[in-house]
Amino acid sequence: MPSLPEDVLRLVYLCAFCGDCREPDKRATSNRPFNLVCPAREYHGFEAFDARGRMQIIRDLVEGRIRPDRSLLEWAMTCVTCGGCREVCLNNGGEGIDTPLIMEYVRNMLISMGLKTEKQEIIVKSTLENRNPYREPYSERFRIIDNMGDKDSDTALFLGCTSLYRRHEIAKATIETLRLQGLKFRILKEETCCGSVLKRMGFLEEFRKLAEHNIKLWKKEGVRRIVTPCAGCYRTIGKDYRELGLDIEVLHLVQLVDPEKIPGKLEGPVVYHDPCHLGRHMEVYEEPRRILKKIYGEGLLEFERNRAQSWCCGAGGGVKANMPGQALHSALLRLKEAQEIGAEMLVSACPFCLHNFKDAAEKYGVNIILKDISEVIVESYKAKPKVKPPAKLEVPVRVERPTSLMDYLRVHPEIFRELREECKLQYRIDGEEFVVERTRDGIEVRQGAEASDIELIISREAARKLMEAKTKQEYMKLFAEYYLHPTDDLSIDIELKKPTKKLMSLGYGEWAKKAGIM
Amino acid sequence: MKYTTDSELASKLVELVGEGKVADQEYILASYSMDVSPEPRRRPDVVVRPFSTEEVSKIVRFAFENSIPVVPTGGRTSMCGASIPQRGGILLDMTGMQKVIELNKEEMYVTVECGITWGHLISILKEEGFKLGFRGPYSGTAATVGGSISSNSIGYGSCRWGQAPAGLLGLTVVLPNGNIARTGSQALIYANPFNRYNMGPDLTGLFCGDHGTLGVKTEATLSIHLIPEHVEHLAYGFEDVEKACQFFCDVQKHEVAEDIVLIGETGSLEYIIEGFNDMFPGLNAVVIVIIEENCSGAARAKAELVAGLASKHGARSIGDLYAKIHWTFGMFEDIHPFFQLGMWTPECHNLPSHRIAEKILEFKKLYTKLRLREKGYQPVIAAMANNNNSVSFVAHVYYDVRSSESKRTALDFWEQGMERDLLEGGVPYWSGTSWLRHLRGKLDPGYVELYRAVKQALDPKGILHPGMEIA
Repeated sequence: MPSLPEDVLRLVYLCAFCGDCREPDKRATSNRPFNLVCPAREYHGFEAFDARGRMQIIRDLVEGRIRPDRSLLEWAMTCVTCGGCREVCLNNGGEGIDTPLIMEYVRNMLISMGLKTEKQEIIVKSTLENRNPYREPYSERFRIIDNMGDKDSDTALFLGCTSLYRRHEIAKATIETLRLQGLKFRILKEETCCGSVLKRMGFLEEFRKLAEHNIKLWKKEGVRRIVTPCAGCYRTIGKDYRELGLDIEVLHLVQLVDPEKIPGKLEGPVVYHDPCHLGRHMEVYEEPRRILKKIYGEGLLEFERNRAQSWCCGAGGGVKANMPGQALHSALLRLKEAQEIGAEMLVSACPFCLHNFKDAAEKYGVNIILKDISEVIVESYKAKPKVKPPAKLEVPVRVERPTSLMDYLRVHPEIFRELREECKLQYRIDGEEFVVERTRDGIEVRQGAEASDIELIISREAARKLMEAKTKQEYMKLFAEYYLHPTDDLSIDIELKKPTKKLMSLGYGEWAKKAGIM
Repeated sequence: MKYTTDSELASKLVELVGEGKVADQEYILASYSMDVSPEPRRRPDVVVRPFSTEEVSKIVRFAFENSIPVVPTGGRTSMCGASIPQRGGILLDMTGMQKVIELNKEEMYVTVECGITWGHLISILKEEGFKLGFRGPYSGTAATVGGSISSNSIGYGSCRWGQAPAGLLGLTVVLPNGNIARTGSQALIYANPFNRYNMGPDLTGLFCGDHGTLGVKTEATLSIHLIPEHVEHLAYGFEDVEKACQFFCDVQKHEVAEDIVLIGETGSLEYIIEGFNDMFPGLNAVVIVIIEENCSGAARAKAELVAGLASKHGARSIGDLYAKIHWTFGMFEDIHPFFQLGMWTPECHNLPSHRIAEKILEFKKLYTKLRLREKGYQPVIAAMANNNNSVSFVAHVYYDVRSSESKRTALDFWEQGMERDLLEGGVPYWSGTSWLRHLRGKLDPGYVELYRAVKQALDPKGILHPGMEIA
């Protein structure tokens, strides 16, 4: 009887069946929103389809109490590997039990027993023979591309199979975006499908072959950087390829585009959908928002379920091919959610999400505009500015006499010394919003709201007083005073945005101790 | 996707409630074989997901006529095996029944379908400016209103508001023969469900803690309260465990707190707050006190009173972070991280508060005697206040479910602990299979006779959750 690798089994047996992963976000009782988590459970209803049920089934499977058969295979193919359950799970040292990873291996185990769906076989065959999962000839891969880039560039543009074969508008807009931004790139004709769909469906050996081909190609061609407009490709190359030895920079398009260079301003209301593979899997949340904020300003809306709590489009993990009804249902829920908040357009940064959204909109007759972020970037360049672009947000790095807490903190990075690199604190002061991010050498301070570790809500007067502190000790003393003994004028409140366990490992415990609040 | 195998039972149930709500595929049954306890896994024969009281009534009537066991389940976060079917039959997954039926802001109640989770309900009420008294058990956010009422849960808010059934104003219950009964003021057909104690006996209470053996709860009406404007999060550290317990009892007696929790084994706090013991060396116990008030003056006065008591008992303030983790930042963030240590051996039970210190010291001695720490077991000892006189007392270890030696050691400790708890006057508020095997022969004969008479009258064929009867 085939089994699972030891590190995967460890996760399976770590589950204590508390059910946090099942429906509500455990933070529901705090100041965070209530969220449904699992698209498969939402669609099928039975416990077997959420992470808790899956862990029991997998235990029974590896212990020989369940017969692996066709129905079990169908069950295995219902997980979209979106990672929503992992996000709310407090187990595994705060990292959560990695159900997407587990399901890849369970599928692999079933495959090794000869259990494959017809769709799986078609996709694997096509991907290995045609180097794309869509059963399209490889010779057609770049048919619609009239600009293969600059052959001297060390940046390889990897457009991905969905935009090359199914969503040509995204492939074209991506190339145009790079041109408009003045970024050099080249498209390598010998590239092959990244293998994302094979990996998610559990065809790990077949995936490895594709990955090794691409890694070898990039090495041979002296590629120093990969950029892709596809969230699935980005996750696969940026994470899975790394495990196979890839050591060059991998970026999603949204990480390369400079929002400040985008001139035009379009009108909303528009909402951004976080693709799971870009958001939860790779934690890229703010870059697309900065671009869209520049384009749409106040016309950019936000889903209630956003960033790490984003609802999956439903297409991932091989579900669109194997369980099309489930995939379209999840997409429909998201489209309705967009309409409920008043969005006339939904923008995403994943051709596969968009592909599924478009199919759902067509099937269910949902009247909403659906676009990829590359398309709106290009449109933005074409549009005439409707209003004067806002002044550059950057504030001088060094200021002699800080006039705001934001400036003050810029010149007092020692306040954040206890925090680990990449820690992010959101400040809110009477309508003003800015973020402090701990970097390797110090801190970076920027205006706006972003997904952060904690939020500090500081009264205007408290902020003014904090700026008078001459030393870190003085600052921390005042901070503790306003937090522990708030008055109507002088108050600080803190909201945690990540599980406490995770925050402690990032150094917030030590920081709180230094601040005298713990 | 097909969820059934076309067995006779499944086909009959599909006829009653329709496609998509009935399943008997092996893998689906397996996913309903467990709860949050270490009790042995057992599968039902078929699972049904009803979406209305009428559907439940149809299923139960059919089961009654055909003498088929019916096991009603909610979030299945029971820590004692209460949701595990013991004799197969039909498992009712009530989580599809999750609607808020009525939020009555004038008469201060909310009527919900019993499959709604506490987290979901609290979230809805919060948006409307209301809170519940009891706010869900410690076992998990997936816990449902119906499940907690059926097992008399203690949890968030029990210090001020009591156990899960305390805020209950009335129920809609499907009786074992499939008939539907309404309790509380709604038993009068013209009245709203705004009050529990009325014309006759409190029949609502009959179904509280019944573990689904007397009826299937489909709707519940709960008291609601205004969201407090002011919350005080207080946390104190103690070098002396006995002083911590005296402080706990003192605060509880003054009836100023929404919630009080005592951690009697600070080593465990490392799993919640990394570096805790380095930050606060020398502490052997921590007490959290939560105060909620609509008036800031009242909240501050209560906080000052608690601070005074803390000072009297030699406490050190440890800031409010741990208290906020417990109450505000994220439910279960001070409980569920322990699962990284393995499965727990939960033997939570009701204990008079003045006995906490004695109990903690007894368990600590036992841990030492059995050399559990040396063997890699992390003990967790805690007491959560219940009303003004008792606690839910917890002293458990976590074990590696894949190691038979670890499992045996932990489960032996667990079984011995439960037996000792009962003999020393502790009372389990839920039973489930884990406590039932220890309760035999220890119950008042009159209580046993009364329960059996009620069970016989309501469920002569014994179809409802067989094996889970208290006597």
